[in-house]
Amino acid sequence: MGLGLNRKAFSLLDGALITSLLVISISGFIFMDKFLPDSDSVRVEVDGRLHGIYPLFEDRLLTVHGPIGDTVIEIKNRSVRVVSSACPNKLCVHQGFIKRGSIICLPNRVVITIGVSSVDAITG
Amino acid sequence: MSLVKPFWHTNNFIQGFKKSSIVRFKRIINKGRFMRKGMHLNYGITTLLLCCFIFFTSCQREHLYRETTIMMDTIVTITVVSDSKKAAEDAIEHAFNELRRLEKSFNFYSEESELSMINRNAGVRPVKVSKDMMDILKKAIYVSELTGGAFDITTGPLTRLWDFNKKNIPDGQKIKEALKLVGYKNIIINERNSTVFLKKKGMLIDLGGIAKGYGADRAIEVLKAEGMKAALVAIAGDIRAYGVKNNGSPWMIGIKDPRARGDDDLIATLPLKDSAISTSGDYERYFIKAGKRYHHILNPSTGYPADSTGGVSVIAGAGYLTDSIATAVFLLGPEKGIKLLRKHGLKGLFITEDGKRFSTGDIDGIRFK
Repeated sequence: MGLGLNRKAFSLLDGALITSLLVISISGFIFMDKFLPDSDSVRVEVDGRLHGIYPLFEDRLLTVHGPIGDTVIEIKNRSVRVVSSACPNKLCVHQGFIKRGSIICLPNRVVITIGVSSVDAITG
Repeated sequence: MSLVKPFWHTNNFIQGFKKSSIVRFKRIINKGRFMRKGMHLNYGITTLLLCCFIFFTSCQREHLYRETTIMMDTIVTITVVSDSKKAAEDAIEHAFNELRRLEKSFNFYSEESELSMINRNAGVRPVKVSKDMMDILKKAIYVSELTGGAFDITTGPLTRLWDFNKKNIPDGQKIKEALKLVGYKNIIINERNSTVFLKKKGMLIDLGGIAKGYGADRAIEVLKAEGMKAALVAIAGDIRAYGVKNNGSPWMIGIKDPRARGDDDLIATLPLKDSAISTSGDYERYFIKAGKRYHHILNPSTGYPADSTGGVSVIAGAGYLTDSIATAVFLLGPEKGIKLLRKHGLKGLFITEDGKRFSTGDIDGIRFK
């Protein structure tokens, strides 16, 4: 039994094993996503005041006026992003679409949070 | 030529794999041969299957889909869990249609409704009715018997007298006369001929205390038949839940604070799993005259609004039960109400106007704010 054959088989087998392990671990992220609660509202605050709460499942484009200027927010496919902003560094724009968490634009004092509503329905 | 085995070639590590994989791996290790005919094919297939599994679990991610419409004089919201937007929207539309159909038949105020047909023929003749009508009437009578008459659908003549928009207290004599027409025992059902007959002329059935909960049940049935994995139907405060949400957690329901002004001021939250909840309160439709509050829950034995108890939420297996029984136990008040709920193995919570709580004590997972 030559070493060459062993080495070849070793790499093939382990390749498969490593690939599957890799795939499993990546899928872990997908499953994690599944177990995290579905958020369903977008809360927009400007300069410390609530501008509005919008449903995450309804696509829309809205413009808010901050101390520096306008911030354009887009809700699309259950994600939120800042399309354009009057702020100098544009960090909020570069953050792109988010599905949970928040986008904060400090210069223009805009805080966008994807909130988890604590209840699905209200009785009474 | 001794190869050092990588740690994942040891038996211990392999234990975690599926049995077939373990056997295969052991064979490889024991025989000291890494390649056999057809083996790479096996691995190829295993990897392929694994990839498929991961692909499908990640792509067919279930989402919550929610739609709201105005119907039955109130707001109806349906939420479903589905892996397809199209399927979810179709299912919700069908459920809405089912509710529209029922509303048409059960409407107390429309002359064209099946219910009005029965009412018009009170004291005249039996009326042939639909399956839905027969079903809801039988259920309503069942609840009347369960609650010793505290719930009664024949309070129609009283509903006509008390107009909560005009804020008028009806004449005492008129109430007395209307009371003579109240009594669920005068509903004569003939199942074989599918007919309903109201014994006394002037009798009126009003399904307002049961139709919403019943509707929620029927909407859930439609959503189930459409293949939805989980759903939540809320017809105003009458809510029916089926299954669990896409993240595996139960539907969460908030109970409104009876003293609060805002719509989202909750006094408690609770999980709801394959059951229904309804709340009866005196703070929804009422008027105040000479310092006294007149609300819409009329006592079938006195003809006047029941004594104020704040609000009561009832949890049971079906919406028609919670809707009607919440009305009944509201009338009975906390003490008798809780007793009745316990007797029938139902769960409930009273919250009085001064914030006192009376409960059957077995509401799982309830959290007060």
